[in-house]
Amino acid sequence: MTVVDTASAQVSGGFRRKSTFGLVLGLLAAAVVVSTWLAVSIGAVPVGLAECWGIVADRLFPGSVAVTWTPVQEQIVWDFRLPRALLALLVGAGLSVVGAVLQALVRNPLADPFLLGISSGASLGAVAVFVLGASTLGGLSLSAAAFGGALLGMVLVYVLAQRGGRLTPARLVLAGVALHFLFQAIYSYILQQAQSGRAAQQVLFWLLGSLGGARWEMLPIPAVVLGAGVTYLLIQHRPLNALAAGEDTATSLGVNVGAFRLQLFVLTSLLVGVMVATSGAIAFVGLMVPHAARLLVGADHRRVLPVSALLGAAFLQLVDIAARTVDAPQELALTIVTAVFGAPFFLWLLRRRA
Amino acid sequence: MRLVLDGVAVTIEGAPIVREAGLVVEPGTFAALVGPNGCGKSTLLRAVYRALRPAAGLISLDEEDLRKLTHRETARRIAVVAQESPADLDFTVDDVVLMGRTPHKRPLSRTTGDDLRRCAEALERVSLSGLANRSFVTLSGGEKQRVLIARALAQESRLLLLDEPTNHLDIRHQLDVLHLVRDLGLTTLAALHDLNHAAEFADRVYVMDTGRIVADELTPEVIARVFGVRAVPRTQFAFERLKEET
Repeated sequence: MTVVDTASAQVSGGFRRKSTFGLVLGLLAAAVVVSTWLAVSIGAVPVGLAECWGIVADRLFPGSVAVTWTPVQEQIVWDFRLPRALLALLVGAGLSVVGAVLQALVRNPLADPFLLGISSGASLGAVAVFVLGASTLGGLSLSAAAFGGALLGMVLVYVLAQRGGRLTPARLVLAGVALHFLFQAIYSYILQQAQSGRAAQQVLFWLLGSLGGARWEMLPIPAVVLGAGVTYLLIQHRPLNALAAGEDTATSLGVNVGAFRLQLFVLTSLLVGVMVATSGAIAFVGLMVPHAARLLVGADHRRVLPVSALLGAAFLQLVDIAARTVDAPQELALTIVTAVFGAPFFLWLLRRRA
Repeated sequence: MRLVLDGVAVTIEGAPIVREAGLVVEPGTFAALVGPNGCGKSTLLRAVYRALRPAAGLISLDEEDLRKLTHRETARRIAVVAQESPADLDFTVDDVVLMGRTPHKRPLSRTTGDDLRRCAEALERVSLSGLANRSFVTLSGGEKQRVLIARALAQESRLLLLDEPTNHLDIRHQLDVLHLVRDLGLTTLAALHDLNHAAEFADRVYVMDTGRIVADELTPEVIARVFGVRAVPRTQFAFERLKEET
C-alpha cells in the first residue's frame, strides 16, 4: 500500500519513524523483474537477455520488434521458461505470505507451512486425487484436494499443540513435525502402491518441490488465489497485528478472535493448497522470508505482507535458477536448495529463542 | 462510566471458576480486586472484556447490557492491560500504541494524522515520548507496562481494566504505575496482588475468594478470613516515591 502520508510525518516527536517502506518495495519489485529476466535467459539453450524481451514483446504485440531469434528459442522461452518463472514468483510470494500469517496466528516465529505439516497435508490431498483417479476433473480438483489436506493439517496441528488454551512453541513444532512425517508416509505409500513406474520421481516431487511441470494453464488459479488472499489480508492488517500481540489483546481491541482465526485458517490452507498442487512441498521459504521482511520494515503487517510477497517471489526465482543450473543437466528439488539456507536459519532461530 | 456486575458466573472446561460475583465501579473511581492466587480475579476480568462468556449473570456499562454490544463496540468502551505481552514478534513501541486505534478503524480506512497524534499524546502521558521507535522487547518491565497503558489510552475508552499491572516490577516501578493509573482519572478496575497497594490507591477494594466477592472493604477480619494472615497496621514503612534527581 502506501507510506504514511506526509501530514502524519509531521506529527509530534517523530512518533512514526521516517519510513523506508516505499524504497524497499521499489527495490524488491526491481529484484523480481531482474531475477525473472535472468531465469528466462539462463538454461541449457542460452537465450540472450535482449532476445528474451524481444520474444515476450513479439508475443504480446506481434510484429512490434524485429525477429532475431530462432523458433526453438522462442518455444523454449514462451512455452517453458516464462510460465515456470511466473509460477516461481507466485509460489514464492504465496508461501512467504502464508508464513507471515502463520507466525502471527500462532504467535511463534518458528511457524512455517512445511514445518507445521500443512504442506504435506496438502501433498497428501493432491496425491490422493492424483493416484486414485479423480484427476479427470482437471486442475481444480487437484487444488481442491490439496486445500482439503492443508486444512486438515492446519486444524490437527492447532488442536494437538494446545494445552490449556495456550500454544507452546515446542509442542507446536513437535506436533507439526510428527504430522509432517505421518502425511509423508501415507502419500509415499499411496504413490508406491500405484506402481506408476515413475513412483520414485513422483514421491520426490511432492516431498521436496519442483517447478518443472509449469505450464501456462497452471497459472490462473494460484494467481487469483494469491491476489485475493493478499488483498484480504492487507484489508485486515489491524486485526492481524492485534492477534500477533495475543488473543486476549485482540479481543480487548475489538477483534472477534474466533471468527477471524477461522478465516485465517481457511485462507492459509487455500494458499498452501494451490501452491502445493502446482509445485509440491517447498520448505523454509515461509519460515525465512517473513523474518527478513520484518528486519527490513518492522513487524506491522501492513508493510510485512507486501514486502514478504515480493521478497519471497524474488527469492524462489533465484532458488529455482540455482536448482536448474548447479547440477545441470540434472535438476535439484527446490527444498534441497532452500534447506541450504533454511536449516541453519532455523537452528539459529531456535537457539536465539532458547 | 459505571460498571455493574450482577450474579456473574464463569465456567472453564466444566469447572466453576467464578460464582455469582457482583460488584459496582462508580464513574471515575479506582476499584481494586484482591484475593488469593486462583480465586478467579483474572477470569472475572476476562469475562468483563469478553475473552470469556459468562455462564450466568449480567454485566452492564452505564445500564447497557454488554452482550448487546459487538466486540468492536465493547472495545471502544473498555480498554485492557492484560498480563499478555506482545513480545513474540518484534513490534516497536509505536506499533503497539497504534494498536489501540484498532476499534476506531474500519477495515479499509487509513491510519490518519489524527490517529498518530492521539497515539503520540498517549505515549507522552506515560512519559515515554522518546521511545516511540524502540523495539518493545528491549524495554524494561516498567516501561513495557507503561506502553500497554499508553495503548489503552490511545483506545480512548472510559473504562480501564488492569490484570496485576505491577507483576514482576520492582517497588519503585510498582508505585509509578499505580500513581499513573490513578491520576488518569478513568473508571478503573484492577486486579492487584499487593494488599497495601489496594488499600492505598483504590477508592474501593473488592475481596474475592473461591470465585465469589466476599467483601467490599479490607478489614483485619476479612484479611484473616480470606488470606489466613493477621493484618498488622502499618507503622514501620510507608513507601513514598522520592522526587527524581535531575
